[in-house]
Order: sequence, then C-alpha cells, then structure tokens
Amino acid sequence: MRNVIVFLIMITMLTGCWDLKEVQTVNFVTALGIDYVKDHYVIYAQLLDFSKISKQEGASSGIEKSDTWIGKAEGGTISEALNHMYPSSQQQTLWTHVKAIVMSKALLDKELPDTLNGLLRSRDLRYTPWVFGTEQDISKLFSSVALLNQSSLNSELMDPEELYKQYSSVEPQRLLKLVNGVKEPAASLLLPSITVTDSVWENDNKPQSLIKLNGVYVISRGKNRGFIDQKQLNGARWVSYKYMHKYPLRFETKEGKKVVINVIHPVSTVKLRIANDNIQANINVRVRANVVDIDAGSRVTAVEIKQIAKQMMEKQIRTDYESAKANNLDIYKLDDFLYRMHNREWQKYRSNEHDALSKINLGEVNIDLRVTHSTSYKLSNS
Amino acid sequence: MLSTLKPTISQAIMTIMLTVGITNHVFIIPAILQSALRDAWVAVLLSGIPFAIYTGLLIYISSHTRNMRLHEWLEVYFGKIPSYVFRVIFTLFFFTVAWFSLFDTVMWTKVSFMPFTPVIVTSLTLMILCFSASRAGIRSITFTAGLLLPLVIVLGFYVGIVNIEQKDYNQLFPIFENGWMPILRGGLYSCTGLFELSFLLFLQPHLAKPLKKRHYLFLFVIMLGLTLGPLTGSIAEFNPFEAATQRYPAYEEWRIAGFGKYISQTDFFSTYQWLSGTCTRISLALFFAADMWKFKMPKQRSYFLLCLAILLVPLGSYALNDMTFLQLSMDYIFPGNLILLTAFALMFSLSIFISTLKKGSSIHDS
Repeated sequence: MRNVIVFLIMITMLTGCWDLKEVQTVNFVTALGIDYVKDHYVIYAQLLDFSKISKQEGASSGIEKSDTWIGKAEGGTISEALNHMYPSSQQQTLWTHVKAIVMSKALLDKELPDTLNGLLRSRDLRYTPWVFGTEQDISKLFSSVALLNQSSLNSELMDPEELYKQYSSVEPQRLLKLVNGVKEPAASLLLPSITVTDSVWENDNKPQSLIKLNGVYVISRGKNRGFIDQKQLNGARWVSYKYMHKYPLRFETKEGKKVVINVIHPVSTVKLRIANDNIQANINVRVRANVVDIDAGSRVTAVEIKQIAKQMMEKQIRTDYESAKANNLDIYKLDDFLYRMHNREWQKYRSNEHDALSKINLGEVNIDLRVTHSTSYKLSNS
Repeated sequence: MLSTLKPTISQAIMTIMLTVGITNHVFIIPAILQSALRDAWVAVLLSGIPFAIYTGLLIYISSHTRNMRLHEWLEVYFGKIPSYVFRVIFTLFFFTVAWFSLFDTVMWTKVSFMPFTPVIVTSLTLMILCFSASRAGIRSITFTAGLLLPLVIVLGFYVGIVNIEQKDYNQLFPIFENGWMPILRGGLYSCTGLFELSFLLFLQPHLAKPLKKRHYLFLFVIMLGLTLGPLTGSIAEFNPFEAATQRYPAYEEWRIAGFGKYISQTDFFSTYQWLSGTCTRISLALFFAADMWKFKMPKQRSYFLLCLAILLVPLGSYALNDMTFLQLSMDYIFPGNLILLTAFALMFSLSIFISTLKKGSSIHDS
C-alpha cells in the first residue's frame, strides 16, 4: 500500500503540470528576421506548418505549395517588437526552435550588440541558430526558401551545412560565433550574406526565387566593417575557414587548356615575425586536391597541375589579403592571432589608434599541395 | 544483516564527487569567470597549489581522527566547550550549504525551463526527497549516489564531446592580460569550492574502513578536473566576456549541445545531472547537521531534520531575489566558506599536533 502511494506521488510529480505544452497549441517560429529602420526594430517571424515539415510517403503529388506564414512587428527594442507580435498570434509562440536568424545590413551597421543582448537574455532563443546578413527585403527572403516544394527545413537558410559540404563557398556561422565578433576585442567574424536569385531555377516556365549565399560581412567589435563578395574569398577559404570541405579552383595550363581541381580541407598555420614596427606574417597551407576536369586532348601532367595550382593559390592569398586590408578587414584573423599570441605588441600598436592590422604584411606564403587522385579518368604523373 | 553494512570507500568517493562536484562544476563557475574572465582557468590551475597543501592537512587530520566523529575527538582531547562551539558552527554551516544548493537549483529551474511552475512546488518536492534521504541515513545517501553518479559522468563526457565542434581553444589566450589581481580573486573562489573536500572528514566515521592517502589524492585530481572542464569549455565555446555575463555557464554548455540533424536539443539531460548533485548534496548536508548532535531517541533526530527541512522550503523559494542571492554569495557566502574551511583545517591540524605533543610528553614523563 505504501509503495502504491509513493508511486502515485511520483507519477504526479513527473508530469510537470504547469509548464506542460502541447505541440498543436504552440506556434513554432523557425526563422527570425531582424531589420532596423530609422530608430526601431522590425521583426519578421517565419512559421511553418507542421504537416509540411515532414514529407509523407505517397503525398508527393507536387501540387501542394510549401506553406509558410510570415509575421511582422515593430518596436523600440527587440523584446518590445516580439511583444507586439503576440496579440494577434492566437496561441503561444515558442522561439526555442528558431533555426536561422537573418539580420539586415542596417542592423549590422548600428545595433548589433543591443540586438544580441535582447535576443539572448530572454532565454527564448538558443546560441545555435544559423546567422546571416542581408541587404534584401527579409519578407521576400523568407517566402522563397524551398526547392521542389520540399520542406523549408531542408533549405540553405535552415540547413546550410549540407550544401556547404558539396560547395564550400561561404562558411555558415552559428549565433554563438557571432557573439565573438561583438565581444572579443580583436576577433573578426565572416558572417554569411544571403540574397535571392531567380535566374537559376524555374517551374512551369516561371522563374523561382531561391536563396543563395553571395559573400560575407566582416563583423568586428560589434559592427559590420564591410562586405566581401564570395569571388574575393578564395584566400580566406585557403587560410581562415575553420573547415573548408571542398572548393573548385580553375586555371589554364601552358598549352592553354582549362583544368579544374577540387581543393580539399586546407589546414593553415601562421607565424608572426615582429621587427621594428613591422609585423611579417608567414603562412603555411597544407592541402589536398583532386583533379576533376581537364579539357579534352590536354597532355598536362599531375606535376604541372600541382605547380600551377600552388602559384594560383599563393597569388589568391596575397591579392585577397591586400584588397581586404585596404578596407581594414582582417579576413585571415591575423589581428586576432597577434592579440592572442603576442599580446604586448598588440597593445602597443593598438594604442596608436590604428588597427594593428595595418602593420601586418604577408611574408612567405607556402602552399604544401598534394594532388591525391584524378577522379575517374587517368592522368599521367610527369 | 544488510542494514548494518556500512558504506564502502568507493561509495564515499562517489558521494563526494556528486556533493562537492556540483559546487566546483556548477555553483562556483560564474564567480570564477566573473572575477578572472579569460584567466579563470589559470586561476583554477594556480589554486591547485593551496589545494595541495589543504589536501595534505586533510590527510594528516584524517589519519588521526579515523573513525571518530570530529566533535567527539575534540571532546576527548580538549573538553566539552570547544566541541560544543564546533558543533554549533558546523550545524549552521551545513544548513547554509543545504540552503544555498536548494536556492540555486530552484531558481535555475524557474528561469530555465519551468517558468509557470511556482517555486514553492519545486522546492517542496526537492525537500521531501532530501528529507527522506537524510532521515534514512548515510547508507541510503551513499548507495543512491553510487547509482546516480555513473550516468552523471557519462552525460558529462557526452556534453564535452558533442560540443567539440563549437570549441576553439585559442580563446583561452592571451593569459595575464589584466595582471595578477583578477587571477588571485578567481583563485580564491576556486579554493572555496575545492576546500569542500574536507566533507570527507565528516563522512569518514561512517565508513566501513578509514580513508587512505591515495583516496584523497584521487579526489584532489578529480576536483581540479571537475572545475577546469566546464570552465575551459565555456571560454572556448563562448568567449570569456559572454561566459562571464551568463548566470548559469555550465548549463549554457548544455543548451548548445545536440547531435545530428534531427536531435538539436538535449539540454534536458542536464536536469538529471544537476538534480543528482543537488539531492545528494542537500541530503548529505542535512545528515551532517544532525550528525553533530546526539539524540536520545531516533524520533528526535527525525524531528530535528524535519524542522530544518521545513525551514528550508520558504528560505529556498521566496527569501531573496536572484540578484541579491548572487551578490550575497560572491561577497559573503563564498569568502565566508573559504575562511571557515581554512580555519577549520588549520586549527584542527594544530590541535592534533598539540595533542600528539601532550601524548609524547606524558609518555616521556612516565
């Protein structure tokens, strides 16, 4: 009898009655957009229909339209804007499942620290959503997310890692790391920039607008410091991406034939040499590559490919660095490296009111490239 | 027959790992981060030096008191009054320990995932559990700890490993950016948690065999590791500035832990860890408080525990707001504990030293 009573008490306690939530009575926000207009925040919340998230077998007739709702509200602070969304929300809104946050350029330029505080203090949001910057209209972004009427959760916005594995153009970042760009004194974060294109895919002869990543905003000390197009990110891909899966590199051989190789997972090490007001950064990149495309009739060898690829990569590292440095953008995180490993020097150059970055010049750039295979077709070695 | 079995040494070690572990692993982390920022981990490493000395003192005391309760030993060698003072102080101390753990846990539950549940419900539920455990005695507490701890450890490794993806250990540098003062302050907070290893002395009389040097050394390493783990993790995952603003840094590490595409949130596991620690800690603290006193009847002991438990429920739920609690713990509770535990170890070692001198001279005299 006593055991029965104890058991009953235990099961009543296990229910967590007050905080019980039923999934059908909650609005799950899956993506959050934040814009800053004049002096107030504009929030966009994207709701997904649950039945459209998991694709059922036999229901793929292709007629159903992907169903997303977008809410919009304004306010003087983030939480005020969120609150203004509630009166018409019909049910409780839950933010813990937000998978992506898109911030407008205007916000990144001005109000990033306040925004992060507002988002993270409330506990509603986690540190794990993917973050993006954009110059586009956010509601337009949110209404164009999925290909082939797939679940919106399988899109570049909600799940950028999948595409990144095949084509590592712009490295996706989580909110967690954006905080570094705000609070760390010398860190620079390459925040992916997102845009809409309708020139690639069409359906029933009508162009479909879909999301793509087109570059990065460099976030440092709480602010957007500038935009870099993905074409000028090669150097960053070889040197400073945390994990670059693979990215194609195209060049021409001496005989004028085109070759494409896939550069795979470069690992870079940086050494700084500091001597009289000049900091020399020596970069060593260890990397593998596969040959994926050679023009027909080419007599090029693996050794030649390796040689040209090395020169190309070194050149890209140098030119991309110089053009970023001209805008005071630390894309190889050399300033951060100086701050962490040579703090005294960093302090010294810091006090001159100039970024220490302007004192850092590239010295030796050494590429240690191994061509591992030539995919399905053979290639002679030398 | 079974009920007369005393807890084994390994059970004692597991109990201490839960009891003291939750302080070093959870409660103390915000204080260390706030005072030492990026150098927090250096502070903990350096606090290993005083902690080593302290552990030495504990080994010395332990080898002399063995299966005697500390206040009994005091009574035998120094009379009733010192023993009485000792008992009053440590009853209050263990009561504070129980209150602190209860308050922090209840508040954490409220803030993190049960905003609509009244705190009185959480604190009452917890206290019913802890009261029954402490009433049932040291055997139930240690046996339960032995059952709870393995999964706590497994989960700890789980969260450490799945978060590797988010960690950047470069963020541990530069060190000494702000000089020595922050490190010293952080080191003191770190010592507060580590010195709780002295709980072993209160546990020893109830064990089947006395503790040996190697058990203390083992726990020395474990305790340092328990503090360093979540601290370095927190700095590497977030950054020291963000980590220092967080109210529950150890729990934040759980909030970013997920694996694969379909399981993005696993922080509910942390409730198991946290509650295992808190329950063991509160039960043990109440048990120690009652253990200071001799009761004529077992019922009196139950009433004493019940009084403490009843007192703790409102104190743990509505007594303070969290900001006051945090400030109180940073300014008074942690420093107070440090002073008390240090003074305790020093004075007790000194007393033992004096008692051995007395003994020696009396042998010499005869």
